[in-house]
Amino acid sequence: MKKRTLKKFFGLLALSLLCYFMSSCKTESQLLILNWGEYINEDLVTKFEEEYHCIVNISIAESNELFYAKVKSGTTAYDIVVPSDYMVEKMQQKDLLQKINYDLIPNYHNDKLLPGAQGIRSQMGKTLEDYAVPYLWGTFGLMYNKKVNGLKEALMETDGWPVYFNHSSFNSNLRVAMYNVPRYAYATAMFASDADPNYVDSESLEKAYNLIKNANFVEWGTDQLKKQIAINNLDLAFVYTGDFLDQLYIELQSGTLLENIPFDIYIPSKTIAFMDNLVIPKKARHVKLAHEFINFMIEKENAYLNSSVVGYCTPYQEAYDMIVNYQTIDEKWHEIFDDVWLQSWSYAMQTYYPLPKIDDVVKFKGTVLSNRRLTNDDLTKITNMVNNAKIA
Amino acid sequence: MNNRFHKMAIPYLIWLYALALIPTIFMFFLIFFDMEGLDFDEIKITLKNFAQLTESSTLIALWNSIKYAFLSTIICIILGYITAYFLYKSHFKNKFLILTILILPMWSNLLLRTQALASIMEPHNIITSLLHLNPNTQEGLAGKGIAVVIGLVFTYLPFMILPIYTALEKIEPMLEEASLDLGTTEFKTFFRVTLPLSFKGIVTGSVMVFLPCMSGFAIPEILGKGNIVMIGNIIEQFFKNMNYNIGSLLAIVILLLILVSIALVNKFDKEGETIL
Amino acid sequence: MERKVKISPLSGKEIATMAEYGYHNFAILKKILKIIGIITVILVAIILYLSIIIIFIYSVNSSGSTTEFKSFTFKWYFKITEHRMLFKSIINTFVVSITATLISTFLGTLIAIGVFNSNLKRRKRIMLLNNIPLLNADIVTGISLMLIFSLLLKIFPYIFGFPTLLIAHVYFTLPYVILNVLPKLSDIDPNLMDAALDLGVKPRKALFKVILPAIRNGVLSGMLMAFTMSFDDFVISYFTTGNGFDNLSIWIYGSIGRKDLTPAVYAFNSIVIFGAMLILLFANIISIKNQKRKIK
Repeated sequence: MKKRTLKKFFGLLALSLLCYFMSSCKTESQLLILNWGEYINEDLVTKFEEEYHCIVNISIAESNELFYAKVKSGTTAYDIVVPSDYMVEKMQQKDLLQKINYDLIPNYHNDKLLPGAQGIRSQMGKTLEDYAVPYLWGTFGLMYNKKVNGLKEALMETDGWPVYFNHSSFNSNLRVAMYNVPRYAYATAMFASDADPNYVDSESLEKAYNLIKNANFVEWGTDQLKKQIAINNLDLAFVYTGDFLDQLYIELQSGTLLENIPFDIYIPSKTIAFMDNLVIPKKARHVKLAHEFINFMIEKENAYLNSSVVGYCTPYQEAYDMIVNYQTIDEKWHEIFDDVWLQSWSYAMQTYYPLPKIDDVVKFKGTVLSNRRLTNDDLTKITNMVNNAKIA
Repeated sequence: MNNRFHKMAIPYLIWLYALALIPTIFMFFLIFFDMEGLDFDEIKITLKNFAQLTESSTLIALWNSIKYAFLSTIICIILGYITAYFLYKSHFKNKFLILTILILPMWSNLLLRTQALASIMEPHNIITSLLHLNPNTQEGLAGKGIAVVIGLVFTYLPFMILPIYTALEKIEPMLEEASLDLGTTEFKTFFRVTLPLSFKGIVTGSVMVFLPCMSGFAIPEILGKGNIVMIGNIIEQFFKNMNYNIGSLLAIVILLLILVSIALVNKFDKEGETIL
Repeated sequence: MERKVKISPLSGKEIATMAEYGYHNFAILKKILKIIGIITVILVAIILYLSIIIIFIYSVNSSGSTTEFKSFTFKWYFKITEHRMLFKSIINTFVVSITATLISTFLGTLIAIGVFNSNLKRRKRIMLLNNIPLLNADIVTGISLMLIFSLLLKIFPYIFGFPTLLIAHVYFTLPYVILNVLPKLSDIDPNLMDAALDLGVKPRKALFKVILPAIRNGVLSGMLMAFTMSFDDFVISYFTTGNGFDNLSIWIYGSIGRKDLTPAVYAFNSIVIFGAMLILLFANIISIKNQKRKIK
């Protein structure tokens, strides 16, 4: 290697190190957020940075457990994390979170939440309200292929679960899939057998094992499931309602008419509901800025804009009303969004996240998963039970 | 050469002790404890983690891993040897170019590549959509064992071709010529001279293919559509559920298999000459 | 094998007598084997590049769906820079991979020279340990490194991020460089170095002037392998990074699950592959031209 090559070599090395120091010398003054992937409207982040003269740095992870591992290990002092209900509970139990100072968040008021979000919040328990501000929420449902004759009716008649777990009684060629998280699979089996999804004993494990084994799922997947149904590779799958909406919006935006959409979702009366919350870890360094960020994100119009990009449902009544009553909103929104989008968005929210009617006894659907009564051993047993059922 | 240079290896030995050996020992200790994640406050000594080894899913997953890794390795040896031999005989001596062509696909993300592969194994996919085909079948390849084997072969084949090619390249051309001059046929020359001399390339390549095939989790999960469980999936699940104890136990089991393989490589290839 | 026997379809007997003399006509078999060889090579080429082609099709599909093709477009290629987090992670990936590759190429070469000159016992020990980063399961490597780095947290609270990621990447790319350089070292004529030293060249200078040019190819291939491994790594990076310093793989894995990936990722992937191919082609043309000039 000639001297010139060596010089080039070190030049390149120095340049990349310089790049790094230029890009990250401000690490200490950054608001550090740990979020799900593509789970925030980036324009809002830019707007926040401009208004508050700061830098926001967002990392992403794909599961609540990874959130926990990251916060617990203390490798990074995150200022805001977005865990789901049961993980908020756990983080709080392990004393990883600090209390939210609601005086710094004037935009929040419990009464401003949608009934569904309120229901989840009450299930999560009173103590957690001090630690978590709702961000987005949703349910799970059974997404199905409309091309299969009679499937919709069968789901409606039986409230979903009997067809899902025993599809041979309906149509032996039905291609059914499960979301690939053992805990979710266990919960669905408990819904199907009218039991509590947050309780584990050997009897319920046995029951779940038999149900899952006999269901013969052709696929255990995550985000692929919705695509598989949309293109007719699958007939029925347990998915996030938000996943379904994502696929729906893609179809609508590419010009498919609503009545021609080849799939739909049925949300059983017993299903998993979840809420992702903004929490501030104990080790956070920019507590005031974190509160300002939370206050900013849940502001009516920002919550509206955020939901428009993310596709999941906002828990805030005012933002929800803006989506649903799109005819009456400001002219400026019509300039940002085209009418087709506003119309389909409104339709989707009213259909899949409906407000309860006055005479409804049950104000919302869904059970929040909680690991409060489960030990580590129980979780291991669930994982093993599902694996055993898969290979049986 | 100059013996002063040997000092340059000492820092690396210390580095390896610190970053490779200590963590392995740490994991070995984790096996005997019960805790959540790395929460040392609630640590308990126990032997119950070993019960995981008798769980039928663990055993079948281990068997699946060995079976699919073995099948993939065999297919890789066949395809890889023919390709390497062809390249070696083609008088195309720019090794760097060959290396780059083989390795370039890895510059795109493994997950994206695997998902792309999985999607075209379905009856309805982007190709049928592009060509306006209407598949009659309801079932594709995806979700079957063969799909996993195909995925493993597609991903790890370069690791087989490279060592074999390197081994072939090192054979003195005169040896083959001598053999031919002595009247043996080309086929006999191949089986008596070329193949034995390139055997260590095959061994190295097999280890380089077998180990990642056995311990990986992304490929079986995506191409097996979650229905095929391999040991890597189980390890990943336990680490994901923050049960680092059982996770470590299974990882150590794999590590033992890895050590056996390393010993195997060392037996055939003392210098690690043909690894890549 | 120089003898060529023309086989007339009418004279089957003669062939039989040839065989009796111990001569086997392998011409047809050889042809068949050659065809098998060509088919295999084509098959391997398809195996290697099939998914790349599919990803390219995704990147020019206007609908953003990975299952249905709507119409041809290049719009996703312009959206790479627009997507703030994606773009940042791409920059991070390049910064980490290039720095790690340069460092491990430099150190790896020196270490390889050191190992080559060590006594057999130490050499064996190093080569055994050297296999651990190479063959260990990623998740184990990732978590162990995280544990070790956590010990430093008390002294350097901001260490997680670029520094830890860099160390981790150097850690698992070094073995590739070492393994590529070592065999080239044993190919060098041992007298070469002595000759240089006898001529009064200082050892350090001799290292750069004599040894490095001789092992150049090994260093280059080690560098290429190191960059590839660093560029594509997810699991180790995931556990060893922090303070918002995500690389592209972390971004991709994190984005899958709740939401669809933006096709800009597919576009970026295609740019990297086709860009590298173009560079390769160009470099090859130049080297062929240079060779021709030398011959003249």
